Amino acid sequence: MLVLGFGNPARRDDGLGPAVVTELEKRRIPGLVTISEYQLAVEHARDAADHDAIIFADSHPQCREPFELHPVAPSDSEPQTCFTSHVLTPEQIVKLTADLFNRRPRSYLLAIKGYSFEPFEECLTPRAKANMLKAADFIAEKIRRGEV
Amino acid sequence: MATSLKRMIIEPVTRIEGHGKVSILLDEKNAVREARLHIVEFRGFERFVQGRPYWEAPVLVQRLCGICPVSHHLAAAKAMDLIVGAEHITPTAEKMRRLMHYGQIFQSHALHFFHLCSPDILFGFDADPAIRNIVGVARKFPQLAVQGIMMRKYGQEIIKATAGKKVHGTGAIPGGVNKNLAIKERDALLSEQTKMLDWARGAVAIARDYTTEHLKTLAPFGSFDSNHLSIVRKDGALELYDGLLRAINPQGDKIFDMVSNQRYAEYIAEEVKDWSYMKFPFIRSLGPEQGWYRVGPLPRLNTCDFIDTPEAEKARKEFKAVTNGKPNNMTMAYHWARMIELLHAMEKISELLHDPDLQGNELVVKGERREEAVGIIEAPRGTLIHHYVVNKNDQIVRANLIVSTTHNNSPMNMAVRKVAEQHLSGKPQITEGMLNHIEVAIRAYDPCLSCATHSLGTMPLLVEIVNSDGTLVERRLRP
Repeated sequence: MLVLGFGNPARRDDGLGPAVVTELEKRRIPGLVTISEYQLAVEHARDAADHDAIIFADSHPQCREPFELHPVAPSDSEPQTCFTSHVLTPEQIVKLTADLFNRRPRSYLLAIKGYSFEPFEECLTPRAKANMLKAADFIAEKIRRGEV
Repeated sequence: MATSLKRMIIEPVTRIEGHGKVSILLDEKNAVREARLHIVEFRGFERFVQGRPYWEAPVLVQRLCGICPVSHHLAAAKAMDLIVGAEHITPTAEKMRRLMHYGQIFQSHALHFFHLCSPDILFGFDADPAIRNIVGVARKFPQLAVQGIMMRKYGQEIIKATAGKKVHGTGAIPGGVNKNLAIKERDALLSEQTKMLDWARGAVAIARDYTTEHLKTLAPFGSFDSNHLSIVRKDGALELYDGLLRAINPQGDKIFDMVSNQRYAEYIAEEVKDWSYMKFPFIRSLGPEQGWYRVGPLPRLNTCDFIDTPEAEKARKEFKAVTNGKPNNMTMAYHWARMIELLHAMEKISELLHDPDLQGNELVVKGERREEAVGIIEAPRGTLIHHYVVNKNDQIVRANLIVSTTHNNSPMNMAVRKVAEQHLSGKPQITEGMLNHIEVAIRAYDPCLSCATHSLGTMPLLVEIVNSDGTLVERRLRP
């Protein structure tokens, strides 16, 4: 099982993905591999291919509180273009994993509600931190039960 | 007449880092009156580091960017070497940093070529955007896509081994480095080197063949004469980590040469324009109108006298033959130049991995403390300048950073205007393919403007056509 948290911790709640990875690492869950990244890029398709399941963890300004967990399916159509170039979406990563490495790990998106994305503020807002801790509890329990 | 003008906005430009916007003003016959690239450049990090202790700079300045953090890390570390009086760092420290830097060049150039540029050259500038992307490349050219991914991953592993982490590492510190390369790390990297060299050679061949086979189309595409700037080694060799400044004119004559990094401000100034947040650097002796210049892989191959690795040097000679030894001013030649540097970086990586100095234990030196220093490095996208002033309490009191994309501000604007004139002007209808031509020209420079958050649910690509009086004529999302 791989949890891949991504985001920029120097922009407040944009760092929710890496923060939940750090929190899960503290819990020393057997079999859990974690990666913390600034953004998703092509090489993560290779990382995903090494695992039976992957959870992409990111901040989301519009999702429900405290977080949402959705399955991610590879899509044949190009997802909506992002405004940064090297950035890929979880759907694209899963698609590349299937097309290039013939692997289809069970894939999920953990979207954690964030509130402030100011540059050069390195701490999470208190509400976002609370959401992140709830998300970590939820994911840890899901992994222990083998439900992901 | 003003009301018959039409302003077209491409916002944001896809597949470049950060937030870019192109505006094109068309008249009643759809002739291009004006074409500009607007870049929302956030320069707040220069203020952000003020008041912070100098030893934090190499780590802090990386945080703006997830794409080329190593370049900021090393440029800041080079400046801080001088602040702590380390005029010459140890061989182990320098080689560790060089290995980190070549790893960065390798992964960045591979990512750009295979992920961002290859959809345009494999499918064509006018191809359906639904297939003209990395997923389309993966579907039709899976072997090439895997190579791109594995080369990027290899470069990232080098960065992790030398900097401690793949993104925002801590390996370079004022006066040296905080680790050497363990035998286990070295052997893991050595086990892949033959394959990486093979793939790098293949990438050069793809870029060369594409450029030479399409020379008639590519030569004029967004092209123009310009000055070129980079650092070079004392003997004139291509140098990416530490060298002296050289600028040449479009004919190859030297404007200045062998200029110390510490004196850059005597030769380069920055102009502000009221329509752009980003500054426009220029060579002082030529003034803002004539003194703008290009940086990056193409200018580096134009400014250097030779490359000190055999295979890249052979490739450079082939490259130079296309323009009979004169500077190459073709915008689309950036891609070929970039792949020659990719091969050079891999040759250097291979050379360094066999060097026992990487396992040395002398990691840091210090000397007499200074208050002001400049660190310049050739980042993947071009010359990167970090300039700091540090007070007696060890706090940074002033910082000036000129990033590669800022150096290329005028040339990118010129490229946009050229392509707009060549491919949009006078056409009855503006298609997505035509708009992509603009982006192809911008992408050749591989601009990096990674200053925006990326959280899910944010901006799609927006194209707007607006009358000069501000009335929205057409608005569409792409693709």
